[in-house]
Amino acid sequence: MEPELAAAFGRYLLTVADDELVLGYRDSEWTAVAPMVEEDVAFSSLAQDEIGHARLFYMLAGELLDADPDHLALLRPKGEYYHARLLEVRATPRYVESGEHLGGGDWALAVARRYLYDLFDDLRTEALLGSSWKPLAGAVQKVRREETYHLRHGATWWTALARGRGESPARLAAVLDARWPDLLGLFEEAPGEDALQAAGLLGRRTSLLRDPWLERVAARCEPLGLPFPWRRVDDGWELMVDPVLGGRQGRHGAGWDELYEEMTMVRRLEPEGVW
Amino acid sequence: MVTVTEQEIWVALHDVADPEIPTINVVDLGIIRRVVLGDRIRVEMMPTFVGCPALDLMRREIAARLREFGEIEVRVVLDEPWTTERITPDGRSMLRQAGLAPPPRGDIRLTPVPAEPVVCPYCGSTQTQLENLFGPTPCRSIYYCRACQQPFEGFKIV
Repeated sequence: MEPELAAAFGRYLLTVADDELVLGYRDSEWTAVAPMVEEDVAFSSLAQDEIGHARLFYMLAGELLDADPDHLALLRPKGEYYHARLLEVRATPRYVESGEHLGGGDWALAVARRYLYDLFDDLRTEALLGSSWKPLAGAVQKVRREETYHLRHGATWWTALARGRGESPARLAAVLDARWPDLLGLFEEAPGEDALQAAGLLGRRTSLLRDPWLERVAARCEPLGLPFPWRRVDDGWELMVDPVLGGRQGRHGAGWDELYEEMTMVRRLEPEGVW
Repeated sequence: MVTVTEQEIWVALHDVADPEIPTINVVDLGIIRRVVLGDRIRVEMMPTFVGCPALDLMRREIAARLREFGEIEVRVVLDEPWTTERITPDGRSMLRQAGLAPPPRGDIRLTPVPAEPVVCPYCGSTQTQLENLFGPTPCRSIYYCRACQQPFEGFKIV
């Protein structure tokens, strides 16, 4: 691989790895505080899978960027993480050290984010199956088999909340109304994706995943009466919301300030620590 | 120079247990893809799950078991996915000995209906139901047996 392409592809793989790491971290926060014990187990397992996938993508990125995967995961400066901003937002309630509940958690956000992200990630990994870089194409096959379970879990909860007889349909709708701009931020491209696609390394640029994703999401919103702020037009979709961009260029919000501090704490205290 | 045969390496690998399911060894679990003899002995290992936390431990245990035969390299390979179809027939009964239902046959399905009923590892009944797709490790689900009224864990199809 030419050095320029390797650098751009390594940078692209960091966006994938960062997405998986950050969502894995946020979802792991549900351990012990999910609405039911089955979901403590499920979200912990989902989070562990995502962090495992992040590790794989950091290993692959590390080969291209000649960098240590652990360093890529936990020792980059705060402005050099490229996940979509949607994923860094905290969804769990806050607690003080005494264990007192301070409120603020939103299970509807956790469910909607995980499912709509997984529908996006499924399109992204499908496109990576055709990558001309064989180590990546092979590894992605494995990731996709695991993700089948995530999609199954997500579909069950999505339908359960949308059809619930209590407050859940309204809560889910409110999350969607608030988060469509962040959801569209998933489709922001990393630098140089056009060249990566031309070279066959990338099956499909990230921005080209948006329309197939909208098709999938429309099929999951319209029959359930959930809000969906797009109109079908002749050559695709007309958007009625603007995306929140910047995540894939390293610009993030307050959720990232909090999460970065927490997830890098041990590594910063003991950079060479092992266990 | 390596003088050991490939067969001897495979026999020795049967001594290496899965750290989380000690009744099964790495060969019957199907995670050893290939043994290559050269200047050193290379063992190719396929992870059950990409994020399996037992991976590094298994690498070390394989290397420790084979050290007497020469210089060992345990390489984790990802270009071909491990699937539950790789578990041997002996391996399936070793899972049952650990109280774990072996994975159902067939491919992963998106619908919750299994292709065949999951058999209770304690009483052999097929009157079982899925309680949670996810379990205490990434590769397991949680079931309940209506016949002997025991919860039990089963291997996911992957």
